[in-house]
Amino acid sequence: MLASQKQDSISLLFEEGGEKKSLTYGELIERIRSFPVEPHGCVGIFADGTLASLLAVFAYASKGIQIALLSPLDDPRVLVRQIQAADVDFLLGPKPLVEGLQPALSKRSPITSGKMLFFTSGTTSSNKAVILSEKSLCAAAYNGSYSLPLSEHDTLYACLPLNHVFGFVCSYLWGFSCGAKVALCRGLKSFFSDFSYYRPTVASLVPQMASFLCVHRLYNPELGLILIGAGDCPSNVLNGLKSAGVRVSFGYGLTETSSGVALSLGDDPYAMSVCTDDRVLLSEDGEILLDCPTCLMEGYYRDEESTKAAIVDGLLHTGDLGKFDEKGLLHIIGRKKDVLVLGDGTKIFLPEYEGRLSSYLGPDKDFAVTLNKKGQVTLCFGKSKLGDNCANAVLSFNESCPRSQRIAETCYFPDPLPRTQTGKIKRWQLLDMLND
Amino acid sequence: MNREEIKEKAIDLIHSCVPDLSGVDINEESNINTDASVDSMSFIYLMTQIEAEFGIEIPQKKWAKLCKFGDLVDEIHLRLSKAK
Repeated sequence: MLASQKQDSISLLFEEGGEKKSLTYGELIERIRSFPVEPHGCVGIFADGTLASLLAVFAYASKGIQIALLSPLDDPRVLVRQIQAADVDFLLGPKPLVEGLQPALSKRSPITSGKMLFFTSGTTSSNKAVILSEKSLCAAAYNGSYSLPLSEHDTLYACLPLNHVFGFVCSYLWGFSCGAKVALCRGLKSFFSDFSYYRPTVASLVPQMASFLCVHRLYNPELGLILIGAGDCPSNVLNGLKSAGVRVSFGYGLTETSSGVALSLGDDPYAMSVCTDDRVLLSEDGEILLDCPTCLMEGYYRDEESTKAAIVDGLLHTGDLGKFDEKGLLHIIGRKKDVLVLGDGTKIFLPEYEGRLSSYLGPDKDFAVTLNKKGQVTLCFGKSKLGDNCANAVLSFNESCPRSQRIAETCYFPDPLPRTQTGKIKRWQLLDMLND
Repeated sequence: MNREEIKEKAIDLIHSCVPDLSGVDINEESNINTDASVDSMSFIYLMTQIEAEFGIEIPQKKWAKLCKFGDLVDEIHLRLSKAK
């Protein structure tokens, strides 16, 4: 991919020693070639978005050495599980982190070689390692860039984590596949000033970042396109960006499909065109089934049972619900799985979350959790009224949660919450009640 | 700058950086870190604006401990005193 671009065109923009620097495609290839690579079974790379981590990923991949992408922000207990699950025998990243996790390194030999393992939360709270290849990731990037092409005059701002497949493909590979410049985020604290620093024309963001950008007007005048993935975005944010002359495109995809499968290309950001080489089918109950031969995962690492459950007759069962409109465009209408996708791209597994919340609220409470129009976690009580005070319980619960998973709003309904005969919450009906 | 002046400036910054808290009364006991209105991006943005406005740097490791508005004011006061 890198070799097929003009070698004297700029590939990367980054800050080093307080100065803005760049690498041409030729220079980037040379830096990758000269990166010290040691032979290992599986290398765990902490994808902190720095030039060093990007070079490490490309260098090890180019030498056919298996990689597991890890997040330096994850809880150490999660990292230990991931390292052991992926048979990681060597770590690259910040020294304190690498040193602290040495005891967790695996002694098992990997069952695959030369692949790239990305972790996903899946339908439960445990992570699954998805086996992707350089080929499938590049195919996903090329398929997407066929629908949303960039040019060498574009600057794509890359601030999403490298260990998340949306970030990897849509922040880096998308830019490289088009010969564009990729501008590396200077750190989370710098997100707020990076748009004036780099003056990007394109950015890939999660909904929370897009909202923030819009509310605080942090975008630069040259910004013409934002690709939003990993969740929904409030309509006021979409309208705000549109009125500022910024085109918004939503991407739909999964880690299992090496990222994007469909993109919105027209005025309606929710109406999606399926990417070239991919095919979308709907099951009888509206579940989205994907036929994407060039981008599909090879399976879940050391989890044949989950792989067989997910890929049936060559089709990936996504657990998402969709429909086609009269123009043949795909609309995502919900999730079959009991998972809420938050604005920062993380997920809440509802049975587990509500189970934990129940211990704070006490017994015999008719409640359920959903997302309001702003995409915030909302607690709904049935058979209740304003004044039935659970404020202290909610505050205590919030203190135990990561920030994005905290309850932002509480609603009270006088009638019982809508449920099926077996007692399961009818979440779509609940959403209607909330929106009314 | 005395503590009251720090408080006033910090309150202005909270109101401008966290739209959901705009116009809300902030006191020493107000939660600024665990309040669901202050999402993670808003908190980081607030901290970067605090650092820029007061000309200080607060290590990110300390941010998680700044739960109440009073904690934040104390930390700013401490950093400004050290800078003198």
